[in-house]
Amino acid sequence: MKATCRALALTLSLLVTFAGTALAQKRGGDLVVGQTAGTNTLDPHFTASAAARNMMLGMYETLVTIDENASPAPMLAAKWEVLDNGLTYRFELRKGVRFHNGKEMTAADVKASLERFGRVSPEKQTMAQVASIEAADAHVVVIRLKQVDTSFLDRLASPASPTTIIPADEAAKEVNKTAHISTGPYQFVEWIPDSHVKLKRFEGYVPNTSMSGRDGLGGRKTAYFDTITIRIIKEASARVAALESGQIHFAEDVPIPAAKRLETVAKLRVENLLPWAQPLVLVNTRLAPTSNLKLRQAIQAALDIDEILAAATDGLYQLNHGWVYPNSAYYAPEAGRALYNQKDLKKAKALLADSGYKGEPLTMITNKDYQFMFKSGVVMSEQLKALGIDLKLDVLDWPTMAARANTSEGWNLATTGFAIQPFVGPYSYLKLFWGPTHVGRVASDPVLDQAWGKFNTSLKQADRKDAWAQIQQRMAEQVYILKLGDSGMKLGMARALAGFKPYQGAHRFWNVWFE
Amino acid sequence: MGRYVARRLLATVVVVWLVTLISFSIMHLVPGDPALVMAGVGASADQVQRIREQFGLDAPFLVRLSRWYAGLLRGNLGDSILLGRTVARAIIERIPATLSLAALAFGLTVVLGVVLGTLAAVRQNTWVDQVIMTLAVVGVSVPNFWLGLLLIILFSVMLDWLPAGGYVPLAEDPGAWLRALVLPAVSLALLQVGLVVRITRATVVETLRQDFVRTARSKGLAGWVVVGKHAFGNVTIPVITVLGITVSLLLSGSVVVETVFSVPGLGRLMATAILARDYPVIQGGLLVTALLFAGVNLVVDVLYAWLDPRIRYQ
Repeated sequence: MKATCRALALTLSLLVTFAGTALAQKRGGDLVVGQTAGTNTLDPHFTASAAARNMMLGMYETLVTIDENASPAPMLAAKWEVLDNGLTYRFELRKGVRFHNGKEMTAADVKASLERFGRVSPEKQTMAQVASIEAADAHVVVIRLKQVDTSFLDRLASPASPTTIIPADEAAKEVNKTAHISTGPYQFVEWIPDSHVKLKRFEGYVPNTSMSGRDGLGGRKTAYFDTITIRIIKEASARVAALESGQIHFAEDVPIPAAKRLETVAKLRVENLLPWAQPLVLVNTRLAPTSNLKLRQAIQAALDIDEILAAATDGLYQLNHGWVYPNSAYYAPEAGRALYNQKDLKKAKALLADSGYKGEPLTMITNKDYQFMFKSGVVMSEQLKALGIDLKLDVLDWPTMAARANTSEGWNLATTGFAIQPFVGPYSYLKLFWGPTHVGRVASDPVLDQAWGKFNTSLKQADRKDAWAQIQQRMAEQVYILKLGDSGMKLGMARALAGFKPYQGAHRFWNVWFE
Repeated sequence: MGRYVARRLLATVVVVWLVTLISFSIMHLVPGDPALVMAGVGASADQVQRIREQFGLDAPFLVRLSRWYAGLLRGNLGDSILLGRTVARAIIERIPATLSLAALAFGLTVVLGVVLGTLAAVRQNTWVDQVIMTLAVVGVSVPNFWLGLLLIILFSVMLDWLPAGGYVPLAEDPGAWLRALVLPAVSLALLQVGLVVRITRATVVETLRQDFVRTARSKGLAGWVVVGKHAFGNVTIPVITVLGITVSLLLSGSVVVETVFSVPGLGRLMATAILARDYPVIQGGLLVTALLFAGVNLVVDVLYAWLDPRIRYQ
């Protein structure tokens, strides 16, 4: 009898498990998300912040997008061809895709949208080389470039400021005057600035059936939730409290100590978004004494990156000498590696003596608005004092620091970070690592000129990869900038939230459901 | 009285003008560039320059100052650099949340502050007095962000009675509106309650020692009549002064409480604007704050005369 009961119980539990699996992906529910910052605009072409991406990418779609590793992938374009030695791009659109207003998306909408992007977006340089955009027929768009721009597709796919496709009549409107209409699985309901954004499932959504599942920001998308509300909860403890009390189902940027506690709560779980950003230190090569290469190399040799990042990130980091993440197609495993995290005080002291440094004061600027910047500044300044450098740590507020770091005066070292650049790839460093806006205030460098020239004109990805490795090597050799590592972010969520996978491009709430 | 009010209004204009002038000057002396914030990392010098030109940030200080005043005289506070809307709209959007929070916190302050203060004075030197005064000291001393977080943990996480934050407009759902604002209002009010309790107690104690109170008592009047009818009229003046300051502080928005409880109010608007150097919003916000303070002070002064007929303004 006992055995029978046990067998019955086992069968029943298996049945329940099986039924659970069968019904796993269920529609319904109102997801509430707590995020750290709001956005100033939801204009489909005028946004450029991580906060805005989380709010927009469920409803806005682009011609091409990025896959799991940030390489270009199809979205509203079914496929594309690169013709005329890189001067012409021909996109074939998916048929039958509907906008949130019910109208079908056509080539005319794509043309109008991209033209508007070129007029108003902060990333409008994407369209700088475009000579013409032609709607060849209802479902074919041909873009001709003035000259070869090997990053054109990368830029078009970038979510940094998405090249959202909107109806042609909307594209005629000025900045911040458009309705929030695109083709995504969720559609706009309301936006109360500094409070929340609310989206609802778009019942007319046409998924990309040529794909089997989610892939980066593209793939086959399914909206399971009835509504998604993204609330702005700036205070970390309040976000954690809201998650614990069940008022929100997802909280980004959970402080590490709180995350450890949340891991013990039965109804919650914590996931790592690692890598998420790159803490770094800018080096001013125009102002003495950091204008001296030997002194810069001495600083580079002295740094103990583990010690700096352990403090700056509360232990959530990975060592990485590269300026893109290891999963990127452009990752250069050897370029600059030997010069990274040397922890060699003896070598550093010899270089310092060689440099002719005579105790001139150095200024490091940092800020407390971003704690990782402040903490990395404090630890690094101690390491440099141990080397024998007279370092003054100047703690400013973020806007003041950013403005000063944009000039060549008043600072030698500046703690800051990159967020989207290492994810989307080398082309996003074009202006940071080259030309008049070089982050190290470098006026000219023939090696960089040559390498970027090759990167910008080579049609083969292997050649571009070589060029990028040269750039990375040169940046390290000349100590134009100091890479610290990759930092992460803790994401707290309800255990019932199924299908979620951390992703650097945005938090994706499609193909995610309540169990 | 009419002439007095007119004179005060004139003085208010001068005060507000001075406030805006000083704030405009200070903000432009502080380093930082909204065009850089807006353009983002890696923007070219051209892009930054274009944004500067678009918002007139490249003009000399005096030109910008006179443009702002010219706009103000036409009732135009300008456009926010970062919010994609006019400054007036940005402020008006935030007023309901701040006003709701201020009204609830003020109600709590008046009721709790005056009642507990009077009770402490009447029961002077008893355990009642000591308990109330200890609580008042705690109220004044506890930082409101810490109190806010404790309230969230207790009432939201542990008891699950109230939301941990957010704001629901009154028109949308009055019940949810009240529930959302209880905890922030309590956090915000506690400091003010502490102050009002102390000033009320001190004034009532002082008044109860006056001859006319002794006379009233000796006539055989009941204790509550003495306090409520005779003594209390004399207590209102200092209490009104403190309450006036309280109203001004509450109306200009509390950055800390609004941040902890995610209330999209004026305080948060101003804090964000200052951090991003959104000059027009900072300037407009300070103008509104200055007007609020000046307006409340005027109302308090007029109330003095109404409450105490002996006060006459020359």
